Amino acid sequence: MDSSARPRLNPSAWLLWTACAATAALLVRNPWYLLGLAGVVLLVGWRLTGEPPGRGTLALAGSIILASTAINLLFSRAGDTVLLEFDIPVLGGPYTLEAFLFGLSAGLQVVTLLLVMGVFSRAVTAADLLRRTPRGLYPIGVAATIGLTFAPHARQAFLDLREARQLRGALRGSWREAPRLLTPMVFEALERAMDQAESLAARGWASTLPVGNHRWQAALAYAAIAAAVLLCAAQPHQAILAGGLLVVALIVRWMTLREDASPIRHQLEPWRPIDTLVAAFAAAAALGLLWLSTRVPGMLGYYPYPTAYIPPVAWPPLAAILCLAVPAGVGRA
Amino acid sequence: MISIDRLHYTYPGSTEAALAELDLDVAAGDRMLVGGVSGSGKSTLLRSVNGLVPHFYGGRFGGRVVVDGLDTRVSSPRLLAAKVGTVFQDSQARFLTNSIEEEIGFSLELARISPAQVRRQAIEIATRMGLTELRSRRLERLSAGERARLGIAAALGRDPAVLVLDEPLTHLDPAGARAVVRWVRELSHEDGLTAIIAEHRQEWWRGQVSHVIQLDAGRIRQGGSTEQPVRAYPPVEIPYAVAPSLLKAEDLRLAFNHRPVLDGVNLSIEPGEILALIGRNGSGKTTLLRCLTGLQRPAHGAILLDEISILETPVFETARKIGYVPQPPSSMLFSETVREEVELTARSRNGNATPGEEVQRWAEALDLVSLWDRHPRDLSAGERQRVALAAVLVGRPSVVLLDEPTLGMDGGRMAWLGQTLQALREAGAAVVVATHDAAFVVEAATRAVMLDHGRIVAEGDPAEVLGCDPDFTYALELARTGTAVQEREHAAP
Repeated sequence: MDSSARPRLNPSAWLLWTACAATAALLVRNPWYLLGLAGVVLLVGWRLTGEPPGRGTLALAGSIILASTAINLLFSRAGDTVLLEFDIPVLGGPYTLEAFLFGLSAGLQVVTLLLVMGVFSRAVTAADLLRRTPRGLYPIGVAATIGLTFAPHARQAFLDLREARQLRGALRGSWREAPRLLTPMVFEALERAMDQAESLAARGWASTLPVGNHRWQAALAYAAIAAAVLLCAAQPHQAILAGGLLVVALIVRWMTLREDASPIRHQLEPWRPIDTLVAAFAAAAALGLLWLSTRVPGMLGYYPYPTAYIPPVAWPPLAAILCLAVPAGVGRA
Repeated sequence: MISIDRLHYTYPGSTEAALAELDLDVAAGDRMLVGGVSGSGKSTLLRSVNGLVPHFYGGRFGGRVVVDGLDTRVSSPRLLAAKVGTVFQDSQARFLTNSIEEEIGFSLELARISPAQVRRQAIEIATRMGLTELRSRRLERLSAGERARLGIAAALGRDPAVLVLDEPLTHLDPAGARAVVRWVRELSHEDGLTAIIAEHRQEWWRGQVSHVIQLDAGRIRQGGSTEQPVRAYPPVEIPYAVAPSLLKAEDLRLAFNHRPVLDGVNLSIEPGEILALIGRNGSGKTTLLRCLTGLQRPAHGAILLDEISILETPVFETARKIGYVPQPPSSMLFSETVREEVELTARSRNGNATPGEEVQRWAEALDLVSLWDRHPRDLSAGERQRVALAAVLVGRPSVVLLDEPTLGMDGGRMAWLGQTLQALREAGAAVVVATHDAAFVVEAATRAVMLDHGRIVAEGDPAEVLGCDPDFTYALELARTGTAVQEREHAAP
């Protein structure tokens, strides 16, 4: 799939799509809908990068689902349909079909959410995020950069370390190697993410203390926030007053932050009709699923306890999920 | 331009000062080279000039650093970024965008100048640094030399008065290194830019800088020459006998994204020889080494170790005979201490049996005893390289493959590495070294192979092979004669 011929989507459209797709992944628990959503996200990722999902991605997804299923099967004792039971203390079971299905759907949900974040990290750069973050919110900008770059860094570190273990004579794919790789992988990925954060600071993306009147305004805003929280905790019936105080405090703080505005964008990032299309369909999907989750309880969820059942399929959630596939047809990052 | 007064700095959690009572003045337009062994405080000095020390790192900071009128202790890195441009050692890991123009433009965006001016300046800098032709290329597809160029271009974005460069030549081939030295000289001459360069490969900067300082344990070495001190290390004795093996590669071919990386490579590596793989950045050296270990499967061709195909053998089995130290070596290190790191390979080799005295003998042979209980990630680049080497050699490989093993090593350690390879050769091992270091090739290698776009273009005596490429010849001459060759080049029209 050649992605270069299609127009570039605005990063803000990708941000909105990610928020809506992640909302969908969090709302849905029915395995059929989760499979549909995962498929849609994989397709969008494929169209975005021009490369089909790699074996590593599929293996990681399989491992997460397998681990979630195995853990729930081993430790949950609930459910009517007993698959296995041994006359052994603690480890004897019963192992139930319900526990198996619940673990499976939980694993699928985690994988779907990770796939959404995977597409997000390919579609949006750290600079795109920073351009949309006021510099007064410096820690959020740095945290967002580290968060965005951590996953690809961690993946690369994992591959490097796995190779290194093979080069030292360790068996590839041994389950025992996973915990040994985890700590150095996190260290390595964090080291790389911190390098980027250091580079940001060196290039001028750094905090500044408010000066002059802004210092007093900022102090006033923080005092008002603290007062609002205390008021809410001590006098819950004064929540409206506390809320008002909080709003005023945030407005005052925002005014001081505006002086510390985000970087300007030198390249035009035009908002085209396709961005509107992607945003509208993504928002429709998220709002539709939200509406369904409140109006038709149980339509999106799946709770196989106490007796397992095949989850039903209805067209409205599928239609909503399909709305998230629009970027696959129209744009690239 | 830069005034440093009694600077004293200690990193958080450390008890030893990284910089101690440092006094220094750098005039506008000066180019200062900072030398010193690994861990002597070179990078910390640069970070104290751009304000990352103490603002980003924290720690205990004493004394005063003033850059173009700004006191770094009370000026944030945001203010200092307008005065000081920073070029990091591994610029690729620090890029924030996907394209050249955006990467240069992002620094300008932070300065909040008008979009039209950002675009104009970004194009101007890209043109000046010769990056215009690469504008459409994604950053991950740039070569090391191109990345270094972009790193400098991004640092120049805000038109700084000072440029600090941390080991800018480390990953570059002679052509790339030569270009970086030339750019810094031109920027200084034409724009009056003040530059501070921390560098191990000091021969490249001799005659190109206005003054040189050598750091030693965070202090400026007083009263001596400005030449980097060369420590002598005890000779290495290899504590094992090698079972000789013959490694052969036949007609290796491989392409990435339709671009050939290996194109019909035939190679035979015999016991008792040190083969140097040389070539420019992106010529296929690392890919060839990865193929020889079995980590990378060629699209076509065969790799035989003692007439047995390694392509049919699992990597962990091949690793018992072929040891490989990749670049960077930190990716090899994942244990809690240096001791555990070395013992891990010994255990893998001996079927998880408790490692015996052999591990201790390796610690002594490779001068690791003082580092034995330290965490590998707390070590300098050169020390990590030695630990990775020990972690591979303890497995008693017959063939040893090393990717850029001299990176981060000072002159004394480089000589020590050469002796170690000689000792391995005499013990019967075959050694393959991929390197840009022309002087090291001549001193250590018995044979050399030059790769260009995945093809072997020259093979034979190391000095003769180096002579096939003018930039390698220049690098060799530079290492031998110092400034003379640069002065000659400088004088040329």
